[in-house]
Amino acid sequence: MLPHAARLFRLAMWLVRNRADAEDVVQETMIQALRSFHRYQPGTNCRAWLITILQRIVSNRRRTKGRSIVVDDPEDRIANTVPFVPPVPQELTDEQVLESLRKLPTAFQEVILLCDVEDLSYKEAAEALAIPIGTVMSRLHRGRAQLRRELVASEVVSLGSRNAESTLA
Amino acid sequence: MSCRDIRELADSFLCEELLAETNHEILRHLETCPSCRMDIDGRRRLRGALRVAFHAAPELQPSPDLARRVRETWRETDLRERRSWVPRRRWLAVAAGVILGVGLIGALFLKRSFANPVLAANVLAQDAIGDHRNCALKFRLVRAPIRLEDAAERFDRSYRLLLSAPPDDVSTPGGAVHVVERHSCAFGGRRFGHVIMQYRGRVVSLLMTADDGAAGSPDTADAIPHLIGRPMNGLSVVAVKGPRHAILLVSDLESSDLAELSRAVSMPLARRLETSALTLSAWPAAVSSSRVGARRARSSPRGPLRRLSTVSHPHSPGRHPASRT
Repeated sequence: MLPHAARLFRLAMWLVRNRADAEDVVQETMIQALRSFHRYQPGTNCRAWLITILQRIVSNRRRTKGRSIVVDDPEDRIANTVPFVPPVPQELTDEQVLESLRKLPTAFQEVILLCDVEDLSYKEAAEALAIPIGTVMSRLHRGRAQLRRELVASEVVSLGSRNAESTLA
Repeated sequence: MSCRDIRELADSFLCEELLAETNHEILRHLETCPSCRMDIDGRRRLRGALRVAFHAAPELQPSPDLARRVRETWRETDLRERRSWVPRRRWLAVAAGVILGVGLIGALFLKRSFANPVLAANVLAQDAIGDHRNCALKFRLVRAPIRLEDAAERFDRSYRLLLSAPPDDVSTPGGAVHVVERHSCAFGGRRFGHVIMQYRGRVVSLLMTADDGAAGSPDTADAIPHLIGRPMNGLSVVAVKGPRHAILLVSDLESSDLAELSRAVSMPLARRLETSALTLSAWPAAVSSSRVGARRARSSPRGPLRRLSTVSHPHSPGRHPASRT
């Protein structure tokens, strides 16, 4: 389980946005995993199992802090606003990608992180987030589409500022 | 597959969540469609960029000693929990003592209950009704019935008598009795020799089991049909006592009709049991061997159930028509 600690930390850090809290979350995840190791089914994805524990800890912390993850239902908000999905820009910087990801609703961020970054299957992501598999699929679809729009928007902004700089020069 | 389909399936395609056939269809489409190919490439590139950016982001990197601290916390937690087991073990010992005490008292109570003939008769009647309902009417016994020959060999040789008694067709003053099925089955931890019959369009079970003193009180010690237990769901049980066995009839017939049928069917069987007991006194004691708990029956019959009529029991292929009444 220890080799997964770094990946768990990155995920926790992204979700709680505080180094000390993220470390606590990882420690708690590992302790809970140790205690409930008998529940782990050998042969299944150990990282997915640890991420499930981590997600629950993060959700519980949010609940106790009285913070709501989803301010409004992103599915409803975006349902009618995805007529066109722009192509992915050719040049992508790490900052641009992460900044665009941060602009998405948390529910979309979570599902994109689990499926695209942590490579969990739909089923594993659904278990980790305690949501139906259909919701994972729709959030992923809409989240990716919105991410592309954010990336295009950020590219337009950066191009604009580059043009402005060149004009000034 | 159209371009629109490809765009809809693109996410699942990238996550490798599609069936192999669908993947092949998409790949075939991509070979001929540059627009979709560009779209999929873009999505794949974004996915890769996201992964790289996330893992490389400096603000998301753990401190170098995170693994060491996690290991230390593990060790501390493990030690703390082991220590907390010491007082817990004492409590467990106390709890085990209490459970043992309650168990002993319960066992004494149960023993006394079985010594009480009325209670014992009730239990026997409930088992008989349960077997009739689950085996003859609903075919949902946990363990499949076995052949009478096998039951005779493994549990009680008296079950062999049921191969020919009662005969397949018996004329009684109340009407004809037709035997539909013969086998041995178990219910509620009790083994029965089971003959399923049809009488006046009803299903009647003749059940023979080891007598543990439940089928007759001193007043009814002879082979006289008498009701035992309380009727349940319209089903009554009439018992006749053999030398070492109880012969029970279970049905939704009126108890007087059931008693009359018992005179025609159960009493001759009881007499045959008596004769066999005299001639074969060396047979093993039925009481101890007939309880399922004493010797576990194998769950499946060694061969097909003996078919004595044109219709077989549902546990063997097919269902007897009597069950549908």
